[in-house]
Amino acid sequence: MPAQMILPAVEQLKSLANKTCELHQLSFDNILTFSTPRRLTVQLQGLPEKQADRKIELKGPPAAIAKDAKNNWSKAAQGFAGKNGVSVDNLEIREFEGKEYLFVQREELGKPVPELLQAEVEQWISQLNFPKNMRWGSYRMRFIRPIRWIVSLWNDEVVPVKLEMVEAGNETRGHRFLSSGKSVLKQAAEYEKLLEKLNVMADFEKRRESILSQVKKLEQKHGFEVELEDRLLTEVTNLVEWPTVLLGDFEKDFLELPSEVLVTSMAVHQRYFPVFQKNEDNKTGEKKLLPNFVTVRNGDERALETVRRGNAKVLRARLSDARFFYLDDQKKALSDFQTKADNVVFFQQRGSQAQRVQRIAELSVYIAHALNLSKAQKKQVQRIAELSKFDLGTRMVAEFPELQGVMGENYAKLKNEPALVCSGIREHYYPRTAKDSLPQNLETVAVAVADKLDILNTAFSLDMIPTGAADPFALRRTAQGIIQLILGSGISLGLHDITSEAIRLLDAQQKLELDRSKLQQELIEFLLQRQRWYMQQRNIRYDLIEAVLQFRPSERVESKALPVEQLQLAEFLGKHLETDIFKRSVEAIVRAANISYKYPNKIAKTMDQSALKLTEEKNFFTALQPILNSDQQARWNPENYLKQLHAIEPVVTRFFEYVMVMDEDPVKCGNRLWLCSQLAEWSGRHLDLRAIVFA
Amino acid sequence: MNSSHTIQEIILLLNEFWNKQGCILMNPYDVETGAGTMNPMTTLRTIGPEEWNVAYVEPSRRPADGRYGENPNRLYQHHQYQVILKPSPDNVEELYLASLEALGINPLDHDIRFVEDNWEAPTLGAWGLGWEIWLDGMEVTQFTYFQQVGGIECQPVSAELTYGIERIASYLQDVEDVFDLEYTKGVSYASIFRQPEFEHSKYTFEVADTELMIRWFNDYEQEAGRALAENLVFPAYDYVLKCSHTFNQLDAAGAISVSARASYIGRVRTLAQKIAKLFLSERCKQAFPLMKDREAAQKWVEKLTPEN
Repeated sequence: MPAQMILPAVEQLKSLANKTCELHQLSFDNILTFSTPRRLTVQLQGLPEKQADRKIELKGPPAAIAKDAKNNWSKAAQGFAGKNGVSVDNLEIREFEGKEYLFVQREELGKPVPELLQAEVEQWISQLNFPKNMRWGSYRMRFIRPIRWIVSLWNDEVVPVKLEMVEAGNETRGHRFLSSGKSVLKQAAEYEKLLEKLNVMADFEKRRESILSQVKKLEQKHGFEVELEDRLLTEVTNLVEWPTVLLGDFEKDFLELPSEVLVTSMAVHQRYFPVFQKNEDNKTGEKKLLPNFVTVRNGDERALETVRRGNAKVLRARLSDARFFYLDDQKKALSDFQTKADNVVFFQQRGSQAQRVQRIAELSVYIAHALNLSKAQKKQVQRIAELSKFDLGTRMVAEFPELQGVMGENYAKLKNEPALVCSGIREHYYPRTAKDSLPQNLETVAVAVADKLDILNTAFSLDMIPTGAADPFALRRTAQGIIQLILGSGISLGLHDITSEAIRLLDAQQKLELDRSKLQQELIEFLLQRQRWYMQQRNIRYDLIEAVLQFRPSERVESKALPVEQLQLAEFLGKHLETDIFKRSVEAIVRAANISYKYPNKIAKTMDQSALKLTEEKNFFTALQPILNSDQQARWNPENYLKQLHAIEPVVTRFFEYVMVMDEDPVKCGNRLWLCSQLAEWSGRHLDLRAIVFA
Repeated sequence: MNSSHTIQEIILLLNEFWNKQGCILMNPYDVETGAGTMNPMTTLRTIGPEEWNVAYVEPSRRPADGRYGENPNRLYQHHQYQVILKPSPDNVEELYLASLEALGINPLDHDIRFVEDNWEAPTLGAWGLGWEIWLDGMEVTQFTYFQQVGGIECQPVSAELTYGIERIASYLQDVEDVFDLEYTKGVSYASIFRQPEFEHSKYTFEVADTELMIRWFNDYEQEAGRALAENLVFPAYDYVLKCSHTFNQLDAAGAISVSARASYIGRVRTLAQKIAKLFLSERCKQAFPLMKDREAAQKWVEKLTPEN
């Protein structure tokens, strides 16, 4: 089985076994799992021989139809008793959820456990879930890889399980090479011991421990440090059944290569563990690579030297390739690669890679401006953007695509570019995943946003909008990156402004005559989806997210709302969501909003103050004043908003209690609707309270 | 090393081994292919219910890997030893390991691992799951269970074993540079292949007339369509291979943009899928002559013949 899938699969197997025991009320002492690349095993210890006898209670028809007029058991009651094999004397009438029903108690004899398991085990196998299944031979079954044998034992007895290609037995197989043929497992309890004899360490943890302790021995012997990255260690543990750790080496000269190149060649391509000088030897804290690697053989110590030489040879070939590219790339100036980008088409009809970089640069500077960066900072932004993609033209990145950005930084350093520019070339790709870190400084954030927005915009301008699962250019990930950058760094960038600028730049550069407003609408809708996702990740209630993000479609594009403020608002209101006063405030305003939306034509054009007669409507008018007079352009903050919301609530609540809005007099009615509509308009500027749902 | 076979001996030993297993020994195809998989002996024969066990050498062209004969590991054209076992036998892993032993590779003296590697050929509408086989850290074989070819579910499933001949040879002969390999006693790999490697690389990267090739692609595509319209599976497929090779040349020359790429691949796939369907229905008309179990063949015919 593929290494990554083994642990999740055996976990599933365990939970299926647990479920079976729960279902049949089987108690046991212990449940163990074993897993290797060739086997998934679950072992239940201390199961009873037989399921306990159980009393089962069965519910029948309602008591109302249980007896006839003469107080004898009705046909329905007799039928129910007959069906369950008891006499009518055993029927009882009892209450269930407020009504009376017939009940019968039946003794269920416990079944022998092996019999129960037989049916269940077949289910376990077919219920195991893998990300990608396959068929093999002429069989219909789907599984992660072909099933070659099944061992199914109740103590020393085979529990006959049958699949279309194989019948279960008591014969297992050991290590592919260190043992041969089939071996009989006499007792289920001896599973691990037998496999150990057959040179298989069946327990994942023990295999992992064995690798760790062998590595530790090497570390002690040589005084170095082996980097055992967790995922790689798990993968390697699941590539072998009998691990033997070995140390290999490569020529010192290769250490001139950037450490990322060495580590990628070793860890990613070859699944080797890189070896570092012990930390105490060096003061900077930066670990220094040594010309060694550690790998794990699936076998014993025999001919270990051959295996070591073979592995070293493969690594040497990879590193020679890398060195050739590294030296070759350095012969050129950075500008040579930029020139090369003139001839690389990025997206058809959307210009060359060089033109794309041009757009990124202009958009980056626009963003830097919006973020109030200084002139000196803008210069850095410009330079990061100009150099953001040159390394895609290098031979090293052609060979190691995963090193894009990293090589750019490295080569830029060699050409003495400023440190911030160098790190910017690497970090403008951040964040690459939902959990990735963000660029260290705002200069790079500006370029990171511009880079991602340009891809998104370019693809959308060609109608390449992801639908369903298909997203070949990872545009969802890209849009998500933009939102992470804006909200994660807490910067005041609005979606409307940056999309406008991105579209303008592309349109002008390529002379496309795009339908700008349609394109912008699509971009913003797409980005809002990712903003929703981001806010959900922050555990903000769904209805609150909707309230903050929900605008009428026409407003959505034009809205200058800043995502960072929407996030603040939602997080702030989230803390007040459960208070009574907030609930009352929302209800009052929603009532006002609903009624004013319902009768738009009856709202007075202007307020006729002289017609305000009732105290409640006068009070409402007065209470509205500070809100209406507030400066719409002024910096708005959620705390003030909430204060105002709370302050006006009693007035509005009383208004609805004592005033009839839909008065027959059109002036009075118009006035009252005007009050409601003003309140609704004000509260709706920042969020749509109607979306909020109270329990 | 306990054995030091020449490339020629490796091929002979594999031929001998797979001959004993009952494989039909075939020859390389006479139209350019990028891999043994592209040979119709694999692409077409893995479709449909007929048994099919075959082995052959396939010189495989990868224009983008051309390195002017200067790189010790990269070649414009390398050689694959291709085996198809259909249906995949229950002991297919053991058979493969036995073939390594036939080459003198004793698993106890090495580290042999099965590392996940799933295969997809978007131009063929084909995919499968399987392994890279690592010999002391070097990938020497691709091992794939075909799930779909030409958009058609494989029933039964074929196992494909693709040995990298140069890889295995450089391991057995313990050389660092592919050009130092001994092809047969006294004849080096370099003496045969250095010149074509250089010339094909130069041609691909510097000389090829890409405009002409774009026209070729269009013409081949059109001709494939015409052959298809006449129900001519094999001629149509030959033009698909031509399309595919031309596309690879254009791609290597950097003449295809990211978005155009997808469209070229889509065009080849559309043809490949039509051909796959046609092949299946043509074999069906002949009642699947390669099936030994005639009753089963009849059942397949009934299943696949559309009701009138």
